[in-house]
Amino acid sequence: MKKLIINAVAQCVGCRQCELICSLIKEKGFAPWLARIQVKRDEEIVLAEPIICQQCIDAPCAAVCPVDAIVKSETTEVLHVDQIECIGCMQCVEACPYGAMVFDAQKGKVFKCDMCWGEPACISVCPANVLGIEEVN
Amino acid sequence: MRRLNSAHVLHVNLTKKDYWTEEYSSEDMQNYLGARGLASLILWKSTKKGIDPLGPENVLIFAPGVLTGTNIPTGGRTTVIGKSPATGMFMKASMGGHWGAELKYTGYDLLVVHGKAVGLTNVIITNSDVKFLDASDFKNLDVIRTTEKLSVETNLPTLEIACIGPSGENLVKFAGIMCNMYHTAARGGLGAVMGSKNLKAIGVYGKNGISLNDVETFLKTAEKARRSIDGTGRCQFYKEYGTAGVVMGTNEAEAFPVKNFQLGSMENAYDISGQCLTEQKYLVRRESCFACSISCKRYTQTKQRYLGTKSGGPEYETLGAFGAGCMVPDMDANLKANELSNLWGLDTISAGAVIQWAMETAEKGLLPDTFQDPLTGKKYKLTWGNEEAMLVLLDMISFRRGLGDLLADGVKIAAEKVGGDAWKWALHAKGLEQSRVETRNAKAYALAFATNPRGPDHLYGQPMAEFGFSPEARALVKKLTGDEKYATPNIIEKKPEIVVWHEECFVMTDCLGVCSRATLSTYAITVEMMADFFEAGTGIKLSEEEFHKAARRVINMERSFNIREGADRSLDTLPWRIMNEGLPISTGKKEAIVTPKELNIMLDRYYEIRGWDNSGKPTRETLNNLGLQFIEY
Repeated sequence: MKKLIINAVAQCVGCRQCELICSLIKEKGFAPWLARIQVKRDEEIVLAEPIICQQCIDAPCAAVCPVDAIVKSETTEVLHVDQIECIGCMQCVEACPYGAMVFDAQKGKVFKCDMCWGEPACISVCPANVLGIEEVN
Repeated sequence: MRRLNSAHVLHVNLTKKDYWTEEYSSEDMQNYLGARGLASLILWKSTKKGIDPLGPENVLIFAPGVLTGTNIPTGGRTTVIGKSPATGMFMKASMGGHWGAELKYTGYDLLVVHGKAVGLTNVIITNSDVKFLDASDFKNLDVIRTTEKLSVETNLPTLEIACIGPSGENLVKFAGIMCNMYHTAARGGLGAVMGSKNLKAIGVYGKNGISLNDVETFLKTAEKARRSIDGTGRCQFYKEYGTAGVVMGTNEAEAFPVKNFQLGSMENAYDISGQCLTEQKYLVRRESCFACSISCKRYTQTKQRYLGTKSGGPEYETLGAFGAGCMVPDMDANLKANELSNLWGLDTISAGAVIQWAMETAEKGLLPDTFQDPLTGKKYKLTWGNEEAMLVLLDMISFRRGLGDLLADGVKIAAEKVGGDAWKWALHAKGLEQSRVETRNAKAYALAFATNPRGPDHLYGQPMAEFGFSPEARALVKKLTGDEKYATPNIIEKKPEIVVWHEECFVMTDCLGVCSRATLSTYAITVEMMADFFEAGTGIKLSEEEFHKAARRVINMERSFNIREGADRSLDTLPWRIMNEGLPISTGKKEAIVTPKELNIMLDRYYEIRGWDNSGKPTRETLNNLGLQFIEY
C-alpha cells in the first residue's frame, strides 16, 4: 500500500499550505483546523512539524473503536474513518500516539487522513518538499 | 463557511468596553478593494483633522488581506492603519505571520479599535465574543513573555497574538506592533498608538471557514503563482539568504547606507549579510508566514558572543540600520540588537537611525561624547562602532531612560531639541526616519520616498524595476514607458510613470494580503494574477484598468488624509543630506545626489499624472472622477 510520509521534517517552514488545500478539498473551504494534516508550531523557536496518520499496521485507533468505524479500504488498503459509523466517542483520538485523529465538534465525528484515496493533494503544494509517498507492505 | 464578497468590520471601543459590527457591500469592495482600501476610508471617516495620534480619538485599524486565510501564495499579510505619532499623518504598516488569517477565521475582515481603556487591557476575539481582560500584570512584559502568558491564561490552543512590547507602552514613537513573536508592523509608531489606548495584546481565535467563489480558477491561479515563485530567481534568492541577502549586492552597487548615510559601502559587509547568516551557520532554520512559498523569514542565533541570543530575522533593514548605520559590522552584536528590538517591540529601522544620529551628533559636539544609563550608573562612549552603547540605548529608548528618552521621539524631535545643525543629519522626512535605501543613486526610489504619505521608505511604492535587474523588470519598464532604456536608476526621465504604477500595485498587494516580496520585489505574482485571484475569491470582477482605478482611489484617499492635516508639496521631500550632500563613490564615477531641481521636475510630472494641483492637492475633478465627492479639506 501507499503511505503519506514526512521526507524531511527539518525543512518544514510552517506555511500551512498542506492544511489549506486539505481543508478545501475535504471541507469545501479554508478551515485549517479541519485539515487531515495538522502543522504543529512552536512559535518561540520557530519550529513547525506536520502531523499525519502513519497508517499503522496494528492501528491503535481501529483497535479501540467500539463501533469498528476505522476500516481499511479494500482497493487502496488505506485506513479511514467511516463517517456514518463513527459515534464521536473520541477514544481513537486518545489512542493515536501521533495525534493524527482530529475531532470535528460541529459534526460530532472524528476524521483523519484518507490519503485522498491515493494521491494526497498536500504533497504538491508543499514548498519545502517535506511530504512524500512511500510504498509499504 | 463564509464568502468573501463583502467585508465584516468589528469595531471595539476600549473606553466603553463594548463592540459592534458593520458591513461593507460588494460595491464597496469593488471601489476600495477591501482591506487597506476600506481601512483608509474608515480612518478618514472615523477621525477629525488635528486629533492627537496618541489620544483616544485616534483609531487603530487591523486589515488582513481580502484573501488572507485562503491558500493564495504569500497571502498571510495584515496592514495596520492609523494616524502616526511620528509624522502626524496617515500611516500604514504591515506584518506577516499567522495573526491575520486567524482574525479572518473569527468571521471579521477588519478590526477597528477605538477609545482608550482605563487600565492595561488584553482583548480576545472569537467567533462569538469579544472579551476585555485586565492586563495590569502584563505591564512592561516583553513580546515573548506577553505572548506566552496570554496563551496560557486563555487556554486556547491556537490563539494567535498581536501585542506591543514595553516600547509601545512607553509611547516610543517608533514602537511597532508584533505578531507571532517575531513579525512586526513596524513603521510610524503604531505600537505607541496601541500603547496610548492601554491595549497590550489582541488574541484572535476563529473557527469560521472561508469559501471561494470559483474554486477551480482560484486553484489554477494559485498553481500558476507557485510555479512563478519557484521559477523566479529573486524569490529563490530570498528563500536562500532572506532579505539580508541583499546586503552584498547593495554594498557592491555602493548604495548601502553606512555611517548615517555618509558612505555608500563598507569593507566588511559580508560580516552582516544574509550570505554570512546562512554560510557561517547563524541560521537555525527558515520560516514562512501563513501560506507563503518563499519563506524568507529566518530564525537565527549567536555563535561566539551574547550566547543564548535567538530571534526571528534579522532582515536587511535591521542589519543596515545597526551594522552599517552605526558601524558595528559584527554578526553576534547585530543579532543581539535584533533580539532586543523584537523583545521590546521596536522598529529596527528607526531605532538604528536614531542611534546613528546620536553618534554623529556627539562626534560633531552637539551631544556629550559619553552618556550614563541611570538604571546601572554605567557610562558609555557615544562613538561610531561602540556596540555596547548601541545595545544599551535600545533598552534605554524602550524604557525612556536618560538619553533614551530624547531618542524615543525620533530624530526629528531629538534634533529640534538639540538645536544647531543637528537637523541636517537627522535623516527623516515628514518625521519618519528613512529606511536603509540609498535614494541618491536611484531616482524612482527618491520620488517614491518623497511622495510616500507615510514618509521616506520603501513599502508604499517599491519601484524596483528601475534597476532593470531581471527580464520581468525590464519588460515592465518598457510597458510603462515605451522603452526599457528607462530601467536605469540614475536618470529622472519617466520615473514618475514608473512610481505611479508601483504605488498602485502596492495597494493591490496590501488589499489582497499578498507579500510585496512576491509582487514588487520580484514581479513573480503579476497584476493579472491578482485580478484573477480577486475575482475567483470574491466573485467581484475587475478589469486590469478597473483594478488600477480602485487603487488610485485608495491612494487619493490616503493623500487626502494628509492634505486635511495640512500637508502640501513642501512635505514631499527627502532628508536634507540626500538633497544637499553628495554620496562619495568610486573614483571615476560622478558623486550621487538628488538635487531639489531634479525632485521638482519629477514631482511636477507625478502630480500631473495623479491629477493633483501644483501644491500636491488632488483636484476636485480628480476626486469626483474617483467617486470621492465626499472628501472636503
